Amino acid sequence: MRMDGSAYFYLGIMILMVSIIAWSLRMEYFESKLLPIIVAGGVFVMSGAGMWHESQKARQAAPVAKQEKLASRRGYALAIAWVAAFFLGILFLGYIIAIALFVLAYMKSHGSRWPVAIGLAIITPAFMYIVFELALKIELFRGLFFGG
Amino acid sequence: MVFEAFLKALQNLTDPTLLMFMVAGAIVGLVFGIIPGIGPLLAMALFLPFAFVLKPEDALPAMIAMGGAGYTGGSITAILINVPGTGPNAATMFDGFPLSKKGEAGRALGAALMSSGLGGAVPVLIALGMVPLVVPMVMAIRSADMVFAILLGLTFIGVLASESRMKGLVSGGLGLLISFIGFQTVTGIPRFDFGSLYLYDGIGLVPMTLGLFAIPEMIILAASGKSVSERGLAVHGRLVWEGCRDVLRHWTLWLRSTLIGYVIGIIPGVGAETATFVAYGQAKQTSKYPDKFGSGVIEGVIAPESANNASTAGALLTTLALGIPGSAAMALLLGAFLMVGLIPGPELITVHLDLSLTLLLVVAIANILVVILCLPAAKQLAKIATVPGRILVPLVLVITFVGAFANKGMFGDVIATLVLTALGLVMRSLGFNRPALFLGFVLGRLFEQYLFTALQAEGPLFFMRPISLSLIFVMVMLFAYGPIKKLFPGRRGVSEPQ
Repeated sequence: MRMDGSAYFYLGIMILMVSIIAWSLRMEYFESKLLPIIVAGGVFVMSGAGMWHESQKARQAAPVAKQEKLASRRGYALAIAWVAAFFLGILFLGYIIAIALFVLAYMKSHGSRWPVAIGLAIITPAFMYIVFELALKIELFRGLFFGG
Repeated sequence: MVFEAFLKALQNLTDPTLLMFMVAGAIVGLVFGIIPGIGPLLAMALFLPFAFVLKPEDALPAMIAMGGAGYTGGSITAILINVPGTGPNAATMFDGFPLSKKGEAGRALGAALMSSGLGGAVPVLIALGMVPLVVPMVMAIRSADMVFAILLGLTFIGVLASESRMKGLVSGGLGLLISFIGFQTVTGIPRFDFGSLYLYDGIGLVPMTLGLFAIPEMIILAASGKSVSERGLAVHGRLVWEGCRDVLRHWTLWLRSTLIGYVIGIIPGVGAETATFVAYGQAKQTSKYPDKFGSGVIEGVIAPESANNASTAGALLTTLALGIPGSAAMALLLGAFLMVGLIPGPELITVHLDLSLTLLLVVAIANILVVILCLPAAKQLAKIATVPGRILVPLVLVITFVGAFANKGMFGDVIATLVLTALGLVMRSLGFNRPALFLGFVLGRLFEQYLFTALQAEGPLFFMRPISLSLIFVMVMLFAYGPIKKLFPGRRGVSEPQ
């Protein structure tokens, strides 16, 4: 049986559904477990059918060129890394500093000129500070390094 | 009752704050619609955290104006650079771009804007006319019927709105299961919370929206390493008015396409994409020169553009009256309703009828407003599509992460957004149906509530009611449609041009 991405995703869902059913069966009240068991059962069956269907399709499909696949994967990985870095920046340095650093680093690494990158790296956090902290009175997360 | 509510709705529309939010929403929707691949859905998703701090009368019109204006904006890039701003504008490309290449970009734009504006405004009158009929129907609906109405909505979205019905249904089921996380109102005990205080309240609507839709789109744009578009074409002002006159010359085509869009918009899950292709198909089939379609005929622009804006009014009526969104944008709007404490369905069409009518009127006004804004500025607006990805990606990501936190001031929401981003990205790349998952999530808790109310009130045979049985019948037919279609393979469908 040849498996593609969709088939693996279906398999993951099936495993998840089994755990949900097992968890639900241990619940005390009938009202709590009824719908999770019914829905998870239904999703399990449909995922099984979906996995079989996808594996049949994968057997007939032509393989994607390896170079093309690698280039696309590298682009995704890089983009995801930027998002993850921004998240970690917020977690440790807080919103205002992380926004300034992220905008500057992203724009500069993607070919923006220094004045444009620095300008937006100042304007964006300042705008967020004015809108959220001053106007809406919402205190943005300060970051673990600064007592957030 | 309906007349008083209508007068109140007209009075609401004179409120300067509402008008300001509506205009701002229309402009934001227009800009997001013009940027290909971004679309009004993202604008609505980014606006959702702000809806929480605004009054419902201000937040909801702004969101509706965004949704309505987005389709009009999307037609500009479809015509000028052969890249549809939103999915439903894809059919406009077939004849819009060839017209541009022939030097008639202005004419195509004029026709698109005029048919969009009228196509968005006139169905609102039909919807308003239908309200007196809808009110008694909705008042006859009980909890038992709502159980099947929700199931039908999920089935429609799952079966019709994706390439693979299995992927659609599994996505809807996953959405339902995610909605079960946290405190259950029926028993008062938490489920699937892993002992976490954050999950006790369940996953929020804002992390769900931003994670499923907003960040994955930005990751894909960043991964492509390009700006959204680098091309542009000249627009001549005189031809824009010529295009407007074309719509009046082909008024029967415009009317047919508008009605098609409106009716398809009412059906949950089918969406504007289908409406535009069906409208394009009928324009081609009824034309005296069908073989010229695809080479730059003005009817090929008028038909899809009338249908996509008309579908918004139809989808809004279903969302308001039954609480079943007709499209992903309407599912977001439904989420916004729940966030501000309004439950779409019978209550909204009876107790808050004035608000419902206000929102319908907002669709009409926003559509006309966008046309007034676009007609003189079409050439300049098209330049928005050339905003480089290196500027767009960081700015949208910043708004997304700030929005995720600002909604409740909880960092858990940011983490949840990131987890849901992973899910959204996987689902998008594998062709799973994100709107179906979102709809399942939004309707899950309501579904459970209606189910147990129906069970308590009417016992295990709660479905033995005419409305419930009719809904079950429609669901069965929906599932049977595929196998029946296979039995009759020779039937001709609507074909899109090559």
